[in-house]
Amino acid sequence: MRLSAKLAHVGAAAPAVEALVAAGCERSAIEIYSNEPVELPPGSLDRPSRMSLYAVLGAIINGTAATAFMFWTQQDYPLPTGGMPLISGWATAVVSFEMAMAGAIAGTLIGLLWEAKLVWRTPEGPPQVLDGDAIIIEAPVEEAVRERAAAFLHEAGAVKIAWREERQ
Amino acid sequence: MSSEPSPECFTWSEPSKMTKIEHTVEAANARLRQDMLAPLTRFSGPYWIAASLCLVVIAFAGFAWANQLAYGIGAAGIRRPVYWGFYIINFVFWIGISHAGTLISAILRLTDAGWRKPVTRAAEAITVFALMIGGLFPIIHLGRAWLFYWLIPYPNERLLWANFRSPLLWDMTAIFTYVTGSLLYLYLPMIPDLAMMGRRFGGLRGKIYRALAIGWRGSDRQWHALEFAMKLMAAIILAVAVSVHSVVAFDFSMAVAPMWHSTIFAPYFVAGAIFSGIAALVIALASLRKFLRLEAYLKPMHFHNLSKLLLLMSIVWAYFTVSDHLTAWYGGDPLDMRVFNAREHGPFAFWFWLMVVCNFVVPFVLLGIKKLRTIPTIIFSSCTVLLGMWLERFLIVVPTLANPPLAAAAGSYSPSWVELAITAGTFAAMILLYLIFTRLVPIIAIWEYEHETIS
Amino acid sequence: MAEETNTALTESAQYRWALAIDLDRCTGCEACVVACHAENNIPVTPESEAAASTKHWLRIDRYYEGEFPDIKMKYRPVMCQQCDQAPCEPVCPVYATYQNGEGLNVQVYNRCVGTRYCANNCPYTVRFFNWFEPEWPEPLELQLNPDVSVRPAGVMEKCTFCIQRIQRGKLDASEEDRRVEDGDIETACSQSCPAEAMIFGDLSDSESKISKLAAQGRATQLLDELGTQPRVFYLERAK
Repeated sequence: MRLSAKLAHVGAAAPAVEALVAAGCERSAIEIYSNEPVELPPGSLDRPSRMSLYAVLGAIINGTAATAFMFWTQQDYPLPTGGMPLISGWATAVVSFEMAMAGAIAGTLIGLLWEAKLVWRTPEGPPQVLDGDAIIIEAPVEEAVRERAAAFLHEAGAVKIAWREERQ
Repeated sequence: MSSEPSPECFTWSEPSKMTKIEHTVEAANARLRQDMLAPLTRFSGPYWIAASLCLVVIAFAGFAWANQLAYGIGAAGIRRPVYWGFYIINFVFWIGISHAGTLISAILRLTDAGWRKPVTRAAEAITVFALMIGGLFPIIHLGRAWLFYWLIPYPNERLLWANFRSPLLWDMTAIFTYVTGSLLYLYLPMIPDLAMMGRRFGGLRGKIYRALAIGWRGSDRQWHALEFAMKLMAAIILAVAVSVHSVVAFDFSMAVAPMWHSTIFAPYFVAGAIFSGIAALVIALASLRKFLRLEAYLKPMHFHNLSKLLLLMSIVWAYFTVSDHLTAWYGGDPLDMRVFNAREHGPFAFWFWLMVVCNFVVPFVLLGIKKLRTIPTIIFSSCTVLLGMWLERFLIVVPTLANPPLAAAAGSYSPSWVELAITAGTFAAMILLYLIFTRLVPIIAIWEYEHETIS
Repeated sequence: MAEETNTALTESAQYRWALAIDLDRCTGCEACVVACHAENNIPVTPESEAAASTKHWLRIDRYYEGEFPDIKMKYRPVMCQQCDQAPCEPVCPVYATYQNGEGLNVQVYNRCVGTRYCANNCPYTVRFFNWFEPEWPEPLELQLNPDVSVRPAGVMEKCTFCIQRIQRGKLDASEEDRRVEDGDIETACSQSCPAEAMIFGDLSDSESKISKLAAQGRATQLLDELGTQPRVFYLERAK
């Protein structure tokens, strides 16, 4: 069964998570939907993120690609530098830096789209959240612990609880 | 499988119970949303008049540019030896203004200053629009503007390539990166608001909002990812912004012209950019506050905080200016001194001292003395700062070029109607872009503001 | 066959063109300026523009010393100094200006997009820009030099040491299977100077007039403290 509970306010989110975990829900399967970011204490619903890795990787890849591009193209073409060295590393370092930053931006964007499951892997969610003021916690709950989960949630401050069949 | 769960699928078991505090918060949030979303559908008479005026000025600027393209860039007032004039001055000026968003969003985000919340989107919008406008000028000022794409290294059959060691190429890559980054930086925090608007509007407008919201559901996973991405972007955009205006400064400092070849130019320009950016932001916020009736959200506290930053940057600007000029004067290099004297005592003296008054004296007095620091004086100081910073760019470009090392080649510069028209057109374009923007998205990030008031 | 006959061209990298201007002989008559205009298709500046800037690839800078009636006039013809370390070259974003192997700083008109950075970076202010399409009131367009292109609006130009004459001289010499000799090539200005104050030649030829003049104690260079290593020598008595 899939449980969907409406919470009164953002402060109720952390106790609600603990309530569901105590009732036997898997922590990583719990989702909270809201119209604003919900502050949860560390350990509550940690979502490990690799976005900084993507950003750094993007920077390194694009930076070296830009430098290599300049290096190879400036050697390949018979450039009329008239005595200036074909490749001046220091003079073109700025271009490498800017392209590295562009790579970091791209890495961050890709990381965001991937981890937030935007664009192509978007999961369903309660749409009324987007209208504002609703904070809804959802989790898959075993049939057996259904009553316990509901009871714990009410204690934690849930305002409404609803159930539906788990979708395949 | 249906796309979204409808409330009817759920069997609700308990009636709602909300406390009094939650009711107040909910009411405040509803009021916020109403105030923010109202302008999106409100097109008043004054709005249309302002937009039309801007369009007229822009059309005239377009006509002026067409004139220039047809007859040659001599239609502008630039002549030997002042080969760069209003266009380059405007270019540096608008790129400088674009640092508004960077400072507010990036630095204040990184330092977690809560008061920035209602201000971030307006600031980021200034950044994007100023960059779009500023990025036009390198094309406008070209002698053969239709060949601007030759600066892009694309494969060709004629063994031609761009010169990566030229500061103008650095300009191109830096501004490209900055535009991409700023656009993203404006767009990312808009996603939750776009999703909300996608549900409120139908037809084509609603479709576009929903498409731009790229599947935002508001799950904590998405919020976490978004906030992390914003933090990363803040750090990246800060690095990019500093490098962009340093690269613009390198256009001057890499040249051997007297008073341009100064090692202090890169930090000088960055500080000046942040300075003018804050001033532009104050003016934008004051206008928004008045015309969108946002007195409840843009409080005097915001203006006072911004004015303190403005005062700080005014002092920093004065410090850099004194450093640069004192070193030149003390060294007494005759080539430098000719430019220096032209600026301080010669034909440019009036503009030079006006710049000092606008950039330092007025902000120092009006913002430094607590009793004088009111919202009207803050706005006035910002206007003078914008004028002063434009003059500063003018005084960097023109006196040096008018007084080249070989004195026999000295000359002068007076702008023509083409340059004035195009300059006016860019200001009108900025206002028009802002007018359009305020009708498309809420000018205060609703989710950020809600987040702030509750916690 | 080609390798045998074109010895002069294959050895062109060894040419080092330079110009010497004897300031003790220069009278400031500006015949060289007129000759340069005629040779290089420099457009006539309309009266409305003349006050702001006239286009003289070669200009005579006049300096006054002293007070009336003890005024001394000094003339210095200034043209592109064809610097070995030209500040105008690194800043062009499209490689429209560069040193060819013979010491000339060439300007490629077709490639120039008109950013004008090179002109700002030139300490001698010897670069000129075509702000408008060039004009010659009738019948002056009949006297255009067919060896020299007419530059369109939006393109930078400057003194080229009469590169068309250099090319002509090299071609003639290669037909005769020899190197260019001293006196074969004269720039328009050096040819027209009535006081014979301008001498053009090849520095790599140690017997040429210019090599001897450049080695003289009288030879100075303009703004050489900037490190541009110009190819123009000014000969004047030390003060």
